[in-house]
Amino acid sequence: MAIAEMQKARIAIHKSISEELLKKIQKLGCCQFIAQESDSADEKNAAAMKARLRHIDELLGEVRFASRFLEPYAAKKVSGIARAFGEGEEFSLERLSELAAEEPFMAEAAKIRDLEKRLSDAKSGLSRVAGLKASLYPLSGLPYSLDFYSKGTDSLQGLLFSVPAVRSEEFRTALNGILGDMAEIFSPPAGEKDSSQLFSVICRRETAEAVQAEAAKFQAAKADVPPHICGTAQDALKELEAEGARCEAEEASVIKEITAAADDVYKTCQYCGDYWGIEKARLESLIDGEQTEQMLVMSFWIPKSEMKGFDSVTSPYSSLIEVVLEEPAEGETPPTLLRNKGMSVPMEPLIEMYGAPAYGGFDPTAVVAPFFYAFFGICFGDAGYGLLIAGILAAILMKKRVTGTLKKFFHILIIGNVCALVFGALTFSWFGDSINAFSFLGFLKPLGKLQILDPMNDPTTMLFVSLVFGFIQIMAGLLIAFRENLRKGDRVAAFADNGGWIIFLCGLVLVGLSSSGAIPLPTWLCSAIALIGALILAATQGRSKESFLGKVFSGVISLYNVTGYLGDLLSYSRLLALGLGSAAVGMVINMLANLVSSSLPMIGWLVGLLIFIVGHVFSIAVNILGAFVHSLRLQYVEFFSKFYEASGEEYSPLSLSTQYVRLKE
Amino acid sequence: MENIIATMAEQLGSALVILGASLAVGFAGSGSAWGIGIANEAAAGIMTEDPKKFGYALVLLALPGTQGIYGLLVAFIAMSKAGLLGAGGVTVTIWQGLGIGCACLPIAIAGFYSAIWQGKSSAASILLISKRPDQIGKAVILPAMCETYAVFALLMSIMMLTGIKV
Repeated sequence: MAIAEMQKARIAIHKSISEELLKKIQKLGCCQFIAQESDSADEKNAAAMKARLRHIDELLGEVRFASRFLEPYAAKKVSGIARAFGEGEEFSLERLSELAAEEPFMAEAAKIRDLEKRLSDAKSGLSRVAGLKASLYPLSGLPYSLDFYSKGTDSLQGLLFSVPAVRSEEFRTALNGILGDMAEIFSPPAGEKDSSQLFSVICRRETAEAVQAEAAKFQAAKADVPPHICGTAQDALKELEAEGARCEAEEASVIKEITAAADDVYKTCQYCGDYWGIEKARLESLIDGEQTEQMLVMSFWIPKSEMKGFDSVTSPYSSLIEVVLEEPAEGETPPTLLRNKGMSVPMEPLIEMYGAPAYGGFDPTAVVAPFFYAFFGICFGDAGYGLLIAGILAAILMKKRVTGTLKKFFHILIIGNVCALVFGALTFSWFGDSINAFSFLGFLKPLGKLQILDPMNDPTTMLFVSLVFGFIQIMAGLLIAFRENLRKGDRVAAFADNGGWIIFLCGLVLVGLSSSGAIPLPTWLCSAIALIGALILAATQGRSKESFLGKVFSGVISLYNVTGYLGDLLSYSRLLALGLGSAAVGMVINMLANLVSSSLPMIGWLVGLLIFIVGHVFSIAVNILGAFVHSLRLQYVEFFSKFYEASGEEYSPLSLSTQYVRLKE
Repeated sequence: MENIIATMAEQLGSALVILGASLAVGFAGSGSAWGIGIANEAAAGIMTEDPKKFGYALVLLALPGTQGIYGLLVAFIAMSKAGLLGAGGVTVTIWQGLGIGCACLPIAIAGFYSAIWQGKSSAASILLISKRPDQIGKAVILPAMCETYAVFALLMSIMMLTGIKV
């Protein structure tokens, strides 16, 4: 039984104990509540619960804001990886609820909001100062107060132009022509590299328009003067310097305050986030229930195997609750919980990643597991690498407390690497060809006795082995489909679609083997088997068509699908290619290490050793990724396409799930 | 004149091997660089939003790098086959050299194009994990679909190289 059997149940709880009992159920962590469609009779209570949920959402929003803001400043935080390896704090739920007190947290959060505002004010002050400085700097040569230009006086108006440097003299002459001595024209000395010259013209208001018209002829751009600045640009710049320094000091002091508070508040955020997350999950389940005046009625899914635990939790309340076991309504499918044994267990997350199988369907985990491990072993393909990685991971598992999906992932890698160790030993690949490449490793040569395959020099045999693996897996896929169709009662599909292909493909392979003399069966017998398969397919694959001709035509055309199977089969040749790749990269690294150590005097061995270590670490990193991804692809694309329907919904019970702290049992 | 032809005949084999090895390293490597470059653009983009995605992005953008390694590998095997590495001792004829050179072509061509397209797939996957980091598993699988053909090319290059008798 690879998919856990689910029971639908309905529980009616007296309101006086609903919270308390639900807390216990959450701790048990095996009930997935189903949202009720009917409206609650007790609107008032339901509304109150919704308001509480909103409140918790707001609190969580505050937690998210504060932790995101503080994270860069917190020094003593536990990284995600360290947490996955079992570091971080551990509390009981009661202790966590004490730590996650609302009022102190909100006070802290308000302080953090305030600090954030001060910090952003300081930052915007700094950028304002920088902007103003940039616009005032070109005006710093002017001896006049800037409000001449921005406002002017009753009778005078200041104008500022920037004129192309080559035409500045011409412009001055023109201005003198219009204004005579009724104006004050000033141009600060321009630097040699400046392509334009600044002109300040202070004239009577009535002549300003004429000056502007003249300026337009010289492509003179009106220079901007920041408003609200009295005094000269020089004075303003000095003031800005002082203001900038003030802002910087403010920024530094705010950052200091934040840093001082960061570690503590960040931690509190994590406690609060985890605790309120638990509260939120429970409230959501409560809201899913139906409220009557006295009772709360909830439906849920529970794995049948967990019923005992559930009973023991609820039995103390038996006078105030009622549990009724129900049959699923029509069109309602229970959630899928994969439950495997032994070495298949770690594969479950990979199956769920593709999509959970439908409830009551076939769970491929147990079939995928041995293929995946073997394929990983062949692709990674080196005994030295396998031994090293399996050893490191096993050591981590023993030293650290790794939990959850990461632990399963480690298990996959360890088993896969043990397979790589075996396969590497069978192909005599220990860190590439290091045993042959380095003479001082000669004492390990007896390991060569384990060798039964030599993919480097004889890839054809290994290709054959890879394709045999592929053929076995494709056949396994078709057989599963066959069995599933039989179970569903669709005999035609089972025998015609799956059976036909199984016979046809086996027949074709037998023809190939017997004609090459690999098996002592007469070719005509094998051809007959293939022909029977082909006839079954030709006769049945067009059965959905209406006309007789259509049936025959589609039936015969369906044989063309053999190319699809051929493609799937050839896809398994990647087992050889990736295995060869690992071995060859290892060989190249050894070759380089040897070349360097023999050609460099004195320090040659050291450089050689360095090349060996760095090279093999690189090779492991690249090949382990390739081996994992390609082995998985063979399952997802080539294998699952034969039978797998991932239409299930994953089982996600109400439980105590935390992100940062670990809860004590 | 005959002397020149004789010398040519002696050296042309090795030259053809070198040509093949150069194509394998050059094209497969260029493809990888191109592909990783494409993926880099996406990776840098998502890191402006969330620098913590660096780890995930790095895994995804490294995927098109394998073609370059395959090219390097084939080049090494080709050169060691023709005795161009280390002490040597083997000389190849023109025809053997031509064969070895041609055997490098699958990985040169398929490596080049598949790496570029894998880079584009990786970029798409990087955008996927920027929104849904929990989908990293699927995001890694998608670009691997392109790599399949580089793997086949590598396989054929190696099989051809082992098939040539020197």
